[in-house]
Amino acid sequence: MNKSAVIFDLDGVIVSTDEYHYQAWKHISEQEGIPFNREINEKLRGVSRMESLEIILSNSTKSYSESEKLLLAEKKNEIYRELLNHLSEKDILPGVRELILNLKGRGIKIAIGSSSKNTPFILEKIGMASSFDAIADGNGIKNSKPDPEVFLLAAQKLGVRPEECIVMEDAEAGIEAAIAGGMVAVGVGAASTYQNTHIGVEDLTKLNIEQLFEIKESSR
Amino acid sequence: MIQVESKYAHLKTKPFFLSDKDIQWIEVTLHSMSLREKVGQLFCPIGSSDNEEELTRFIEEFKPGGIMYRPNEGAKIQETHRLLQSLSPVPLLISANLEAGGNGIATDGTYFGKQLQVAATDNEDMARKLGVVAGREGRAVGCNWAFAPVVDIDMNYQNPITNVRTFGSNPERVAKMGKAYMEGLSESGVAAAVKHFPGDGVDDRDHHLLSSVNSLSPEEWDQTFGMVYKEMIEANAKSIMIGHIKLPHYSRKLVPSIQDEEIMPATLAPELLNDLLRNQLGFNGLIITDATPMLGFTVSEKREIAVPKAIASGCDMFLFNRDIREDYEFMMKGIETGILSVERVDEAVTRILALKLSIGLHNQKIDGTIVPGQEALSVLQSDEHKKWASECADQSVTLVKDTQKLLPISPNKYKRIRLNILGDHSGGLKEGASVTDSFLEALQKEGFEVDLFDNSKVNFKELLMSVHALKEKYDLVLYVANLETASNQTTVRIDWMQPLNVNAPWFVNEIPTMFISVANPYHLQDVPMIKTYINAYSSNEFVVQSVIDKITGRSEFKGTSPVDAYCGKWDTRL
Repeated sequence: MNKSAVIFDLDGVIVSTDEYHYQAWKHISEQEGIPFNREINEKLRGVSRMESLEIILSNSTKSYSESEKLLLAEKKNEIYRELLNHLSEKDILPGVRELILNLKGRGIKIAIGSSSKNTPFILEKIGMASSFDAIADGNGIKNSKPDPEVFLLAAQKLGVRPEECIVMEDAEAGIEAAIAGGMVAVGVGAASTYQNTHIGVEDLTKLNIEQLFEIKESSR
Repeated sequence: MIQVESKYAHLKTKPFFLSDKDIQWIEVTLHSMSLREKVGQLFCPIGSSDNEEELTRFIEEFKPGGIMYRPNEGAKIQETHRLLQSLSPVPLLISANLEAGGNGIATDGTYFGKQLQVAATDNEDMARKLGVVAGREGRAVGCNWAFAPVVDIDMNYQNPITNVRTFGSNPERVAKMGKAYMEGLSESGVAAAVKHFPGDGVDDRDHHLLSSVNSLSPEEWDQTFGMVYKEMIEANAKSIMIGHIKLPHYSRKLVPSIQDEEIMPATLAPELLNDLLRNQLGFNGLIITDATPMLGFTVSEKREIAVPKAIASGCDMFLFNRDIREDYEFMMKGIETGILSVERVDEAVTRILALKLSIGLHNQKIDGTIVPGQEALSVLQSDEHKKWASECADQSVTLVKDTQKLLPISPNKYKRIRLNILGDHSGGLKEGASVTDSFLEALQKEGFEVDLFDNSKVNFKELLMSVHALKEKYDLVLYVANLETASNQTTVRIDWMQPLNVNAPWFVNEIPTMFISVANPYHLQDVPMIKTYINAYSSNEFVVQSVIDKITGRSEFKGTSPVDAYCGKWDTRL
C-alpha cells in the first residue's frame, strides 16, 4: 500500500513542552508536599493528565477524593497553559519545517494526532494553526494512546485509509497506538530505540525521507 | 489522460493557446521540479549584476522564473541577458518597462514617445508603431516580456504617477490604443503585461508611497476600467500587472461583510483577483504583482505574511524584493504554515511555464535564439524607428491655447528670448531626456538670441528688475517645463524658485510669454495667466524639433488633447 499521509504527534515531535509540564507538576507537588523530581517526571511521558496525577499521588501519604483529584489536574493544566503562553515558533523542534515542506512538495497529506486538548492553543502559539490538512486531538476522542483512536480519527479526517499512514511519535504509548491502528510507526527521540518502532531517529533532522518511503514498502 | 486533459484544458484556450505537446512539456517540467525550484519560478527579481560569477551563484541559489534589469547600453544588457539564459535551466522571462520605446531597456534604444504623446496623435496606428518599436528593440537585447502598455485612465489631473504614462482620460481611447500597442509588440514575440489592475489614475496619490484608492463605484468601474480590461483580455493579453491599489466599493460588492480595515490593495485581495479578474472578466493569463518594495504593498501586511499571501490571493508571480533571500524564505514558510498551498503554487507555476511556452522560449532556448546575436542591435534607433518617432512628434504636439495670438514667432519680431527651464533634472528613476541644450541650440539655429535663466543661484538683479529694464532686454519670455512623472514623488507641480518666486511669470502683461511643457500636460493649473500654452508630452529630440517647427509656423499643430489640459478650471482657458 502506498503511503499518502503522515500523522504527527504534537508534543515531543513538533514542539517540546516537556519543561512546562515538569514545571506545572512541580508546582502542584510542592503545594501538596509530595516528592517530585525529573526522574518521576520521565514516567509521565505520553501518559494522560489524570494518569500522570495518579503516578504523582502514589508518592503521597494523603489520600485524595475524585473531586480533589479533578481540581488538582485542572490546576496543573491552568499553570501549564499559562506557561504555554511563552511558546513561539522558536520552539518548533529541529527538522520539522523542512520535513513538512518536503512532504507538502511531494503531495503527501499531513495531520496532527495528539491526545492533548491543548493542541489548537499550542499550534496557534507556534504559528502552525493552518499548516496541517487535518487535526485530531484530545477534544475529539474518548480513548488516549495506546488506543489508536486519535490516529484513526486523523486518517478519517484526511480521507485516507489507516494503512496509507506513517506516524511520527516520541512515546511508546504512541508507537503502540500507531501499530494498533495498522500504521507505520517512526520513533522520534525517546521512542527511537523502542523495540516495536519500524524506524527510529534521534530527531527529525536525521530522518531520510527517501529511505522512509522505501523501507516501509519492503518491510511490510 | 482524461484527468490530465481537464486539469490543463484552460491552457489550450485564450491567451496561451498551447498544443498537447506543449502541455506535456509543462507536465513533465512541473513534475521534475522540487518545491524549492517551483518557488523560485514565482519570483521576478531586479537584476543588479553583470558579473558572471555573481550571476551563476544567483541563478543557482534561486532559479527565478524571470528577471528585470534597469536600462543600460544595448550591447551590454544583451550580453547579460544571454549569460542569464545560458545559466537558467528553465528559460527566463526577461522583462523591461517598454512604455515609451526601446529606451525602457537600452539607453541607446529609441525614445519613441510617452503613451500620452501617442494618444495626442489620436492615431491608433501610432500606438501600434510604439508597440512595434518597443517589441523589436526589446527583443533585440533579449527581452521577451514588456511591463506595458499602461491602461490606467488619467481621470485625476493631480495624480503624480499616471499622467504622461497613460493613453489619457478617455476609456475608449485607452482601450483602443492599448490594444494597438499590444498588437505591435506581439509582432516581435514579446508578451505584454497590461497594467495596473484594478486601475490607477483616480486617486491623486501614488501607490509607490501608500496603498492608493480607486474610489469608483462598481457600475462606474465596469464602464471604464472594467471595459478596458475586458477589451485587453479579449485581445489576448497574456499577462496583467496588479497595482497596490484598493477598489473598496467593488471589494464590498463582492464580499458584503468585509470590514473597512480588511479591504486590501488588489495584490492581496482574492475577491478582486479571483472573482473579478478571473471569473467575471474571464482572464486566464498570468497575473504578476507590481514591484513589492513599493509602500502600497509593504504597508498593507507584515511582509512575512504578505509574500505568500500575494500568491495565495491569486497573483502568479512576485515582482522584486527587499531582500530576495528573506522573501524566498517567507514564501517557503508560508507554505509550511498553510498560508499558501502547494496546489496553488503548482497552478501559478503552470501559468508561468505556459506563458514561456506561448511565446516560444522553450524552442528558442533549443535553437539558441532566445537572445539574438549582436547583429540584432542594429535595430536600436534604426532609421525607420526614428522616422516613426518623428511622425509621432509631428502629429502630437498640441496647441492648448493662444488667446493672445502670439504664434507663429520669428526672429524678426521676437529676436531676444528669455528662456526659463523648469525641472529638466535627470536622476532618480526618470527615463526621459534633458531638453535644456536642445531647445537652446534649436532656437539659436532659428536665429533667436537666447538668454537662459540661471536656476543655480539666487539672482537679486532679476528679482529687482524694473518693468522698463525687462522690456528693454527681452522681446519674449519662453518657459519650457520638463517636470517628469516619476515614481515616489507626491506631486508633479511647478515649484517656483525662492526667494520671492524669482522665476515666476509676474510680467505676462508686460511682455509676450509662452509656455511649453514636454512632460506633465496639466501645468495650466499653475500658470493660467500665460496666454500661449503648448503640450508636447515627451522630452525626446523629435519632440523638440517638432515644437520648433510648430512655433515658427513651418508646420501646423496637429495634436489633440487626450486629457483636460484646463484641469477643469475656468480661468485656465482665458
